[in-house]
Amino acid sequence: MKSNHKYDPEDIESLMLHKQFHELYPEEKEFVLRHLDNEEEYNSMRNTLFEIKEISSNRDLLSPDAGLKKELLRAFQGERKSPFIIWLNSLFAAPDRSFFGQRGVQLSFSLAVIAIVGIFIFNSQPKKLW
Amino acid sequence: MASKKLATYKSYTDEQLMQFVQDKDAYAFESLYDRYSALMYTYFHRMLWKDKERARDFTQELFSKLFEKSNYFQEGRNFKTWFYSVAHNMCKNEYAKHEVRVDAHAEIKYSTADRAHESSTEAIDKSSFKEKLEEALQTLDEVKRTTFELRFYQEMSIQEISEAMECSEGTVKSRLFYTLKELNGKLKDFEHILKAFLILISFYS
Repeated sequence: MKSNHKYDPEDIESLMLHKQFHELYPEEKEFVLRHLDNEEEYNSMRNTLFEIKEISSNRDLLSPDAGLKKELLRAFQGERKSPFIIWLNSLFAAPDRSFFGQRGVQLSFSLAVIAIVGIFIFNSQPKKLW
Repeated sequence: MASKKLATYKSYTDEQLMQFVQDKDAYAFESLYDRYSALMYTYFHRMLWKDKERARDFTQELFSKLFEKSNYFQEGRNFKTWFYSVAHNMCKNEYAKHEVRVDAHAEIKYSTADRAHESSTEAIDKSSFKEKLEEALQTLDEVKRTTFELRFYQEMSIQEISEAMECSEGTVKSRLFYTLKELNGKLKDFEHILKAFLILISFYS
């Protein structure tokens, strides 16, 4: 059987699928024998390859239970709502703890407290009337 | 109404559906689920020690990533290879986490294989060849097993595998060759037993 197909010399799987050992071109044979011990090993691997192909083509696909689809669709629906919820949360949520740990923030808060207390003291003093 | 809409989505390519998923289209997500859930569940089941529960969890996580991180899917990329590369990385992480367990598992498999060799009453037929192949596959390293799985059980092309596993096509071909060679070595003994058995049958019949 003479083939017009030009094989990539690296593609040993393709060679095995299409040719018996005696059908290989000299350069293909040379390539094959660089990687395999002899004709017997080529034929043995070829048989294994065909067996594997047959088994894998008759493979059964397993399906997950129907509950998984429902769970995922529910989660997907939840994900669809989330940008709005995230936005809402961002309006009312407190900044995280590390925010309060910053020196600038602490200083600002301290100044604000002093200012509020100062205003309160200033306002609570009885006004002198003269 | 919903089934009618789903039917129209059947004509879309995976990549188009993925774009719709990015726009939070539930029908597109459902269509992708229908196309890939059995494939991915089977893939995880085969790659993760035939553990159905784990396969389910991984399938769930994979599809969750599909909508949670849909923006990671870049336009122009092949969906199938992208999806398999995510699945492949999930398996890789799992192997890393359970390295010790995998070794122990391989040891068990080796020992059962050895015992099987010793057994003279082993049923020798196609189905036991399949079992033998499965056992031999479990003893392969993760990279070879994944390459083999994608090629023969997920029926992916060399190019698709190279994209999913992020390596060159030459590397994929070379891995397939050495995997086949290794499997052939492991199955050779079985072949000899099979031949002897067939000769015995022909002698008695």
